[in-house]
Amino acid sequence: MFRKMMFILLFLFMLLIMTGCWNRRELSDLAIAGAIGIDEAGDQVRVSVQVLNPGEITAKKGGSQRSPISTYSEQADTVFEALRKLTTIVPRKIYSSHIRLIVIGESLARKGIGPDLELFYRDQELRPTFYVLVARKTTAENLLKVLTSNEKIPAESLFHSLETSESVWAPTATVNMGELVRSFEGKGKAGVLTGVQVKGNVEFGASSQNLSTSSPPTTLHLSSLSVFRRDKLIGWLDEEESKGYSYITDKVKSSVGYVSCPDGGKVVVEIVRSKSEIKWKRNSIAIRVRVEDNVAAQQCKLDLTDPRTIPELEKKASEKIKAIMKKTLNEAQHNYHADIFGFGEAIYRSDPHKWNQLKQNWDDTFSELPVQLDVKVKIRYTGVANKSYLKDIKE
Amino acid sequence: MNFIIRRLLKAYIDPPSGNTHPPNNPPNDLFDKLQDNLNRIQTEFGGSTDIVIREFRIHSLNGAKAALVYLEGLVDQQLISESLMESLLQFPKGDVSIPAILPEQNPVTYIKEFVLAIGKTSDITNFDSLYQAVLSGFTTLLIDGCNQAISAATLGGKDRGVTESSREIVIRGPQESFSESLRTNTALIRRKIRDRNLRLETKQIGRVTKTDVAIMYVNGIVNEKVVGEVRSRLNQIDTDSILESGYIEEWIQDETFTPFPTMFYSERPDVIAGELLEGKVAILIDGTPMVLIVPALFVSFINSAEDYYQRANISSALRILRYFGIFISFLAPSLYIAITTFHQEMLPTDLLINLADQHAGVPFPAFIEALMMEITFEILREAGLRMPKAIGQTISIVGTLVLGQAAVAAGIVSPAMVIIVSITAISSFLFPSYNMAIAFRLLRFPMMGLAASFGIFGIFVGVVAILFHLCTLRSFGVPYMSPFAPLTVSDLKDTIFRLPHWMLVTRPRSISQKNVIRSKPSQPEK
Repeated sequence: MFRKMMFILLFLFMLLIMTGCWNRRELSDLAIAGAIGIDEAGDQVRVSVQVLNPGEITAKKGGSQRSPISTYSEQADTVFEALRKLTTIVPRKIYSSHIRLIVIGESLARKGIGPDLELFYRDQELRPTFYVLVARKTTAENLLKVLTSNEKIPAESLFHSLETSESVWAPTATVNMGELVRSFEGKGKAGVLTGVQVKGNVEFGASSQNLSTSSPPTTLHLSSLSVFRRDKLIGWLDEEESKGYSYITDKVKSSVGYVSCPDGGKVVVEIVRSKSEIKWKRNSIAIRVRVEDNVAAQQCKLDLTDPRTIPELEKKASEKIKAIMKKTLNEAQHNYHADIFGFGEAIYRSDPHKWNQLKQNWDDTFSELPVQLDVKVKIRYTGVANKSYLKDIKE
Repeated sequence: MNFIIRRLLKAYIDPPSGNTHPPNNPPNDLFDKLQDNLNRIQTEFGGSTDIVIREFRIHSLNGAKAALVYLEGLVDQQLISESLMESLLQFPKGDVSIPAILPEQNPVTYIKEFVLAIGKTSDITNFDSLYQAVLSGFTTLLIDGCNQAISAATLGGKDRGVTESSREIVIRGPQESFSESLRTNTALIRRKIRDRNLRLETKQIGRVTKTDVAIMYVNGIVNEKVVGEVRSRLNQIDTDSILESGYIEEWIQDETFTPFPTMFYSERPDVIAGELLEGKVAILIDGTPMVLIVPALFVSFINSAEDYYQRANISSALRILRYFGIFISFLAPSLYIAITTFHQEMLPTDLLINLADQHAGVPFPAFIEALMMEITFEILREAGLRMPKAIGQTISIVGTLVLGQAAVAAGIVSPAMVIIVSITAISSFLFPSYNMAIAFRLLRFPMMGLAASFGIFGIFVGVVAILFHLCTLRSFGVPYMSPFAPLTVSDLKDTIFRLPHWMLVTRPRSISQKNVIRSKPSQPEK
């Protein structure tokens, strides 16, 4: 009995010491990072961390003049070294489980981001819920310094505006680490990352003065998408092309567009639902898009109650979407030669043998690939007004 | 462990033999002469002032000397004067048809047959049974020239009476509870189960206290093996005193070194009646309103009497709430410690920032913080239990202010910790049974230690170890965790859920396999 008890106790004890990771940290020992930025610095990398100051973030009343975040930067040969080297400035260890964003400076992105991001793919401490962004025309360090007003944490602010704009505006895309890494492999889908720009003076944006005005002079803007080949940034899509990308890759949840009226003026439509499918049809790619619109505003003298008007509008709307998509396709196929839409994956799914033949020379094949577009728009509702009051305005 | 116990018990390995009485009284039988008997009684009681010896002459026995012996306070004085004194002194009341005593007739039989106007009597031939009878509240009648005595049941004296249950409170259901008198308690159960198969066995335990202990069960439903086991375990008790059911529990329980109770107790007759009808055995002890029930299963400690009186779906919901309460009272502080010191990545970012801010000024690690607060609460709770009711208010004011506000304001603990401790404290009162609640309350502390050293992994190891332990426990041969382990599917109908009464067709099989059909399996007419 005694021996048996001892054995059980021994096994229990062994269980305890055989665990791989444990790390006892008190809450007050953490420097919670909201975002990590990576820039090139000659041969080295410069890592910037946006550390949150909990006291300032949760402050209910009054609040001191201290900033809700502190951005620290350090450079070293590798990202991990730089992160650890930060302890020479920050009194606590950087706790990066809660990062919302990884921001990459554009110049580093053009050189290739694969080696520097491997850490964030491998490390067990990170939650894989963060998005990757590119700091357009600036460095990640500058970008992480800027304070934002509505959300006290700039990383949180960008994170949310990225998610919101993806679902209601369309020309941005949320890309997490897993998706990004798959695109590095160069098989079947090339990567895109949303760009962020700083508008205004960075130094001013970093001071709390930026927040004490009603219209902050320095702000962060999500711009359009960047196109990657493997892990290198090769160019940018403009806003319309980005939207086209979202349509093709079925990322549009909701958006807004307009259709021109015959007599000039516009009918503004809200896209409430969009569904797209990429299919491999023997020798060509077929993209089928089904969109449902609502008429949001009518800025011309069209008669919406006329039964012929709606089909007319639907036709025009689908042509417009088709045109946007064509523009994007053209840019990707003939300018960047990067399969950002995942045509390769679609081919692999329906015909793996064919894909095995094509993948050797995929970038060239992709550029020559014939694409058929099939876009249909359905207009569902025209709002609560029948005839527009514009008709009665005498000129 | 065994070694330590042996050392502790070393002095008692050879218990002092014999009983507490000096062994210098070989003639145990009653004497013929009344005066000899009375003298001996006086000496052996050491002249205690509450012993009453009333000497008189019995007219119908040709004026023979006689005496009543009883203990004041244990007897019903009115009953003695009306049923004993009156009939003895005034017999015969001028009715000549009653035969006079014959010379060869035993005066004891004569008195019993013609004179005594009282229900229960018995003959006594020796001093030991005489003392026993007197000490139990009987009145003994000694007659000169006769080496026999009669004891008459004149039990009385002060009793608390049947009052409302104060520990096991229900909204719907009977409110009465047991009292300290064994006879009242058995009567309360008899009133619930009017069946001749409800059996009652009584024995006296305790060399000095000679406490009446009764076993009650429903013959035909109960598992005889369990009854036999209860009998033999009770017979093995060799101690001088039994003052409360806890004494019996510790003497006969299956496992001593466990925080979990393996015997269930209740002060509600309806609970005990319900358990008896499931085939369990009740042990009633004179002098305590707490009635023991064996075998006890883990689930019975979570069930409340009211579960059977409320609507089935509502009772089921409340039971689930209670199981959730166990989880919180057992693990809430441990989980808080584990998550905030090891697994911060599990928290939503906003909550983490919030907690980090709260913890910013606190000088202690979360574990010390939690330990301090939990111990403070236990102190307050224990103090609230023991202190005179009049001062109870003070405790709550001091407790709220010290725990709730001052500690936070002084930066000793974080507000989140106060929330955790409060919810833990409150949910531990969800247990209908106090002894199970206290088991989990104590186990919470080692769990907090595990959480602080190994995080959620430690909590898992602890929970698994406790589950193993629970599964090894048995209560009078019945696995403690049944019907979960071993699984008896048909018994699950009255565990986490309670199905409607018309679906509770069979009694729990793990308790007894006899007479399992409780009701006809049919749905009531719509």
